[in-house]
Amino acid sequence: MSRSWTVGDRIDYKEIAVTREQLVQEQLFGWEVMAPVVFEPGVCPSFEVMVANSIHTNSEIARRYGLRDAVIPGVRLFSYISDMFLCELGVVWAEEGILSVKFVSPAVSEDVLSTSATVKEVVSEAGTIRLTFDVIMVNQLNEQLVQGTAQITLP
Amino acid sequence: MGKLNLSEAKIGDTFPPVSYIVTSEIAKRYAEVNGVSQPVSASSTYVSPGMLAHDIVWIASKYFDITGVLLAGLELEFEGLMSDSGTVNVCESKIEDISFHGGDQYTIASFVITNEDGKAICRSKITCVSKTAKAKEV
Repeated sequence: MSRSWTVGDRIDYKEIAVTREQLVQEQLFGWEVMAPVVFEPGVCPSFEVMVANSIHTNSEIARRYGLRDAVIPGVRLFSYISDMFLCELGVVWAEEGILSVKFVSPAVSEDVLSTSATVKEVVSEAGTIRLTFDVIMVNQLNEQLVQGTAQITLP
Repeated sequence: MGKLNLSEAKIGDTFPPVSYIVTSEIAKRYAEVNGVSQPVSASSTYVSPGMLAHDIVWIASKYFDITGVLLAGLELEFEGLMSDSGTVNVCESKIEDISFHGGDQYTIASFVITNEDGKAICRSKITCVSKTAKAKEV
């Protein structure tokens, strides 16, 4: 039986602390899978060199740019928010969901990420319910990292 | 084709389509590495929506010189499930908007992902922010 939704209902996602090692694995995976697609043959740089010199993996380089530590890629934060809706709503999220976010300030490795969504609007029409959510992600200092909105139409 | 420097981008600039294959192994590893779920129906496993987002950002780095460019926003509108052993086509890629605020250039690019049948499964917009000479003048 599907859940009934009202304005103010809230979804919470698991708290996550992303380690620098996880960021390295993410970058290595990205380079391995997408570099052959993105770069012309023969000009693809070494995975290890690129990963070692990235603000997403190297704390020292990140600090040179005034950041607290290695930066978690914004798209990874987006992926967590999307996963929150996938876990809550099921496959319909991947078929019809809309997620729009702004990256407000950088998240860095070892930050504890808390993600939630609150129902802002419920519209019933033609046998369906269209839900609009406000989405927010904060760190352990309650600094806002991401803000956005999500929409889904449920049967 | 060389990479586009965003300081020279114009609204309406388009980019050639790109295709690649996401195998079951790649989809599974993506979910493991990023700590997210893969959508599962009764008979099939599908690519995590987050993987499509990651791929679009990678494809943007094929089209643009991303040196000094930050990702400021991301929007994905899902329209269907992507099989975890299918062809991914990134097409209809273009510059949608360029604006200037506080010495920064905001560039919005749009992308459409289709599956091997040509059906759109995701429409996306990314917002990039960069320091450009023109932004400083505005």
